[in-house]
Amino acid sequence: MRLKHILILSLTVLLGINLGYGKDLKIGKSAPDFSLTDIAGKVHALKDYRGKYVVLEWVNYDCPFVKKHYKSGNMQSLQKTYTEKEVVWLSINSSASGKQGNFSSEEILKRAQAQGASFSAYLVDDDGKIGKMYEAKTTPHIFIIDPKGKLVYRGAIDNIRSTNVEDIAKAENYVSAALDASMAGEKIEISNTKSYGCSVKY
Amino acid sequence: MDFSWRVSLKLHRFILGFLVLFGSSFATESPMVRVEIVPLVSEVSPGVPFDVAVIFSMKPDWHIYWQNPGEAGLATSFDWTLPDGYRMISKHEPVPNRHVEDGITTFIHENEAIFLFQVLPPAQLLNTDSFQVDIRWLECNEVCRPGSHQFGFQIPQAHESTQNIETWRDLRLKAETHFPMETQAFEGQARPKRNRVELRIPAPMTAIGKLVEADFFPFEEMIYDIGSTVLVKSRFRRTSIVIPLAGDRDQDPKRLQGVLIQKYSSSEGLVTIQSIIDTSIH
Repeated sequence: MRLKHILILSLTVLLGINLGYGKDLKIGKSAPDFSLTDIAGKVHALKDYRGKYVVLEWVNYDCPFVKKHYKSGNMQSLQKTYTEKEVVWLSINSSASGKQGNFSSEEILKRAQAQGASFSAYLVDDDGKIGKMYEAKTTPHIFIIDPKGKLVYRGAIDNIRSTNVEDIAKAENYVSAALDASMAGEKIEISNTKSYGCSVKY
Repeated sequence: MDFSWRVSLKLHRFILGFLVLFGSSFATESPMVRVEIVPLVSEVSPGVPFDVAVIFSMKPDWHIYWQNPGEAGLATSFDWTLPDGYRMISKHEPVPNRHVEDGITTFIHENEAIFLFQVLPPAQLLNTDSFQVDIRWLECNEVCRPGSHQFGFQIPQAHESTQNIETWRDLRLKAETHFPMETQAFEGQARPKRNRVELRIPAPMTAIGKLVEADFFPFEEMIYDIGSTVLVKSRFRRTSIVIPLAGDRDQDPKRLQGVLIQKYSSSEGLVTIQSIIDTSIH
């Protein structure tokens, strides 16, 4: 009986590791490494960006919450501001084939150009492996990784959960607050928030 | 106020009352969701509370979200503007359903959800008591669409017909079957464990039958691991409900607050108890 329990436990642990579900994804701990291909076919590995801040932005251009931040120019403005400061901004789409937000590379490029997106790369995760590893639940869902590879922020883009563009001006932007504080060597006051948005279409 | 003006005002109020009673001017419809406001009263009396029902009717496979939407979605919100002196006393929301899709857990309302708001008028009423409510929701199936509507209405003075009283009573009863019971105090003990809260069920409850299933919908966010199963543990004649805590929570909860679902297997079949719980954890 005891042997059976040990076997079951070992199998569960091994399966958990293999599936890469990020139960140990914690603020201050190393962000799990991954590699994904962008819409131009270039492979990006997180470890290649060691020494730089990295923002992971889960995205689905057809989600009304994502539309709010792109229609207003809020997301593009964040992308532009921080990529100009050498931050690597990776937009990641984990929509499975046939689901909302899963587009061809041409369509993504067209949409990204139309709205003036300023990401460093748009990565395709259509098997959802990396999204699940990071426990990305919503679009948008933001993760910030510091130059040492530690996760320093995860959660919402701001503190007003809505699809209203007018709310952006009133909201406290968690992403810029976290990046500004961390880049200035200060403590990030709010490092873990509940993200809001559409569910990721795994 | 002269006689003709008074007649005109009464007629106007009667027409408004007619619209209220038949709901024709107090409903809005998006492609997938219909929202209707039904004041369950035709006359406001000073200092006497009355109810207003908000009915969401959703097309099959579409849903809106509970006050804690879970891991995605958006809570359905009601922003009331009441006339001077009026107060909102209570809001009742139906018990949600747990919805798991692609490993993401949300708390939702499907098919029909009736919210009930209880309003207390002041001791002295003004002639023009107009009400306004700004309702926002997110309607989803595989995709999501935001919905919103601002309702403005008046509750005129008119005599209630028997038919309307019965309609309102039926509507209220229908709504109440989906509300959690209000519990003043829960006698069971909630104990903190490393990664869970264990809620010991008191003996009078276990007398109903064997607790076979439980669920918990927390009011607070980011405290509980809502994606994990709520378990029932029976040991040495003690029954507990095990509620998993979130691994990345910023703090341990001091109180257990939410809607608790208990399903007992009894000689009369399955008995489901849905209640609001608000008890300290110690």
